[in-house]
This record gives sequence, structure tokens and C-alpha cells, in this order.
Amino acid sequence: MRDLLDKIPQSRGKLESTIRKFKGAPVYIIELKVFGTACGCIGMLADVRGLQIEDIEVYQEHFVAILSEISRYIGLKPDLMYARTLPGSFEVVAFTARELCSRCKNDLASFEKPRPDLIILNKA
Amino acid sequence: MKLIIPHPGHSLALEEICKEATEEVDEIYMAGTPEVLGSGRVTLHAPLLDEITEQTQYIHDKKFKIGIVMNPSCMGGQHLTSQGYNMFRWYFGKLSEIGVDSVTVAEPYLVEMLTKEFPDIKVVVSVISHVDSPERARFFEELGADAITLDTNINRDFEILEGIREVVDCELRLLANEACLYKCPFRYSHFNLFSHMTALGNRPNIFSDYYYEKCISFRVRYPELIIKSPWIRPEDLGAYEALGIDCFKTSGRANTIRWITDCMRAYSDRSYDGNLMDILDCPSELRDMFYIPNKELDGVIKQWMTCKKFCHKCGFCKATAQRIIRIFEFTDMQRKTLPLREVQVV
Repeated sequence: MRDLLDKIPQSRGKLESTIRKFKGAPVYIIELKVFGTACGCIGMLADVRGLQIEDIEVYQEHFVAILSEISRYIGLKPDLMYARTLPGSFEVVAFTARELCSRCKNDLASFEKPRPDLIILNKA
Repeated sequence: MKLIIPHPGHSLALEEICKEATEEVDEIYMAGTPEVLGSGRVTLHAPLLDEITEQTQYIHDKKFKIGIVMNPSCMGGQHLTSQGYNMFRWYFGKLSEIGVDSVTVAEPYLVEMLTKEFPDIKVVVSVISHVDSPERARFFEELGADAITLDTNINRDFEILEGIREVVDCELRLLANEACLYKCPFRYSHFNLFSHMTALGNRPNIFSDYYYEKCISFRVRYPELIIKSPWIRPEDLGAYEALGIDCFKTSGRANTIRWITDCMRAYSDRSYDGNLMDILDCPSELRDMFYIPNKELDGVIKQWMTCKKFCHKCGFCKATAQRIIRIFEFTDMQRKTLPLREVQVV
């Protein structure tokens, strides 16, 4: 368990420095969390500042690659990776990599854009 | 110099703050009761009248003054209804009975009402009234203000500060470490949002604090905005005292006690050797991203004292940011800093 806990700050730093490198600009990962929800999903969520929707469009493959690498590192096998935007704005505020429960598979993974604030990056 | 310092509102915090208070501290301020009126900032603990009574007694025993801040930018017109008038009159009357020394308000009507009906209370105009010119300062003094907290946007406009000092006799206060964006496009909207979020009744159920998140994202994308934002370094207080302005308020009542007392000590000492981000309020979320060695800013006040605010022609703050800002990076379980120019491809 301690091993997993140690991997969380390392993953936060890795995600942040990798994005900074491929974007060539400051980006801030405020927090990286590993979560389990009441419905049965498990996953990883990173709160981010400094990115906008166009960054996702330009660097989507890079985001998928680094989120996949970190997921592997912490032992997560995500069914879905997505970015969350601030509704009505261009700001990207979080990345999520998530192993879905059966309900969320139906809710989130069955559509190209399940919610207006989500940008699907990758589906398993 | 007089320092006016924040208090989160709970009595344990007050005891700690008083224990560490320096001799420069003149007044300790906190939010009022949300049942009556909201506030311009996040309020973590808003004391009821019984608590204000106890804390006023405590503060007076320690030989400090107490200020109550009731400075929403929007009250939805309630203050101009009979019910609203009666409620404010009752509440201010209670504060007067308790012996509160000052009340800070943003609404011009409340400035006049307090002046007329409660002459024992010192009436302080809030920074949220955006007093940014000699004319506006004179207007508020005419309404009865005993003190005016000046708009932070003019913190580095010495010509205007001098002009205001010339035309009013009341006390002038400067908010030293708020560090909001210079000419922030969200400022009015954000204060309006807080006004409603901190008052009871009809609180909007928002999905996000758009203004705050946008503000932080702006600074991450354009770190020079942190240098441009009109904070006052502890080392530079003397430049303001030379103009006749010697009251400095620190913001941060939603921060921890330790943060508040560290800021107080930095401004009392007129010196801070460390990361400037550690003593700035608004962008404190970014203290783990940016490292700004405060001592490397020695002397920049000379530029700002004559700054014309044409950033597109000047570039001083941008160049300063490139020169001194460092960015934290976390690798191999260790935190180190890199120069901004290594992270930012210009």
C-alpha cells in the first residue's frame, strides 16, 4: 500500500513535467488523486491549470500516452480517459483515467461525447 | 506604520494571532454575521453576535482594535428596503453596543448610514469600492468615511496616490498582499459572486468558481501577470510612508493561522527572505508552482514608481518574470526549481 502511496506524488510530477515538455509552456497539476467511487469505478484524477481545449486537440496523442504510462505505473487498466472542461469556457480543468463499473460503461463509454464538459481522449 | 491583519473568525485563531502579534499591529479584522450581510471574500467562520462580543473583549484586553468587514459588492437592493434598513440599523447598533472599533463597508449608502447613525464607529471604505482617483476619494470622504482602503489597481500609481493624499484628510489604507490580477477582468463579477455566496438565503448552487479557476489558469499561462499584479513588498513600505500613507492591511482571512502570522511578521519586519508567493494571498494556490525569490526584487519599486502602465510598450515586468521566476518540478521524490525560461518556449 505504501508503495502505491509513494507512486502518487511521483505520478503527479511526471504528468506535469511531461506536459510542460511537449507543450513548451508552464502547466500546473494541482493534485493527482487515486479514487474509488460508490458505483464501483476506480481511477485516477488530475486537476490541471494552464491548458485549454485547443491543447487537447493538438496534443491528444501525447496526453493519452502519458496517462497510459502513469496508469500502468500505478496498476490501473483504464477503460476510458477523458479531459473535463469548465462548462462554457475553453479551460481544461482535469484529466481522468478510469476503470468503469457496468453502469458507467453504459453512461460514459457508449457515446462520443457523453457530457458537454467531457472530451473523450481514449476508450479501451 | 500601522498594520491591519486578518482573522479567520474562530476564537482559537484569535488567541494564536494575538499571541504572535507584533507591535505594528493596530487592528484585527474579521467578517460579520452572514445572516445580516455577506462579504467580499471567502468566509470560513462567520461569528454570531455573542462571539463578536467575546472576541471584541479579548482583542481590547490585548490592546488591539477590532474591525468587522461587511463588504459585499452587491446586496440586491435589500439595503434600500425598509426591512433591510431596519435590519442593518439593528445590527450596526449591536456592533456599536459591543464596542467594535470599525466597520468596513463597500456600499456608499452604508457609509453614510453608519456615519449619521453610529458616529462612535469608525467607518472604513472597502477596497471593493474601487477608490482609484482623488475625485472618488473625496466623494467617499464627503459621505463620511473615516478611512478609505484604496483600490489595489493604483498600488503602483504613485501620482494618483499622491493626488488622493492631497485631497482627503481621512486615513488611507493600502491592501499590500492581495495580489489579484492588475486590471482583472473578473474583479467585479467575482466580488458579486462572493457577495451572494457568503450571505444566507438564495445562495447560487454554482458548478465552479469560474473567475478563480480562470485567474489561476491565466497566471500559469502568463507568469508575468504575477509580477504585474499590484502587491507591495514588505521592503517597499517606506515609499508609501513617504507619501503620507502608513496604514497597511494584509489580506488572507481564508488562510491558515500560520500563514496569517507569517505575513504579519514579514510586513512588520519590512523584509521577507523567501518565496514571495508564500506571502501573497490570491494566488497562494500557485506557491507550489512558482518560486519568486523576493530579495531579487530589490529596487524594482523605482521602476514602478514611474510606471506608465503601458505594458505593451514597456515589457519590464515580463523581462523581470523571465529573469527571476523559477518553476518547481517534482522528480525522484524531490522538489527542485527550474528557471522559467527553461520551461517556457517563447
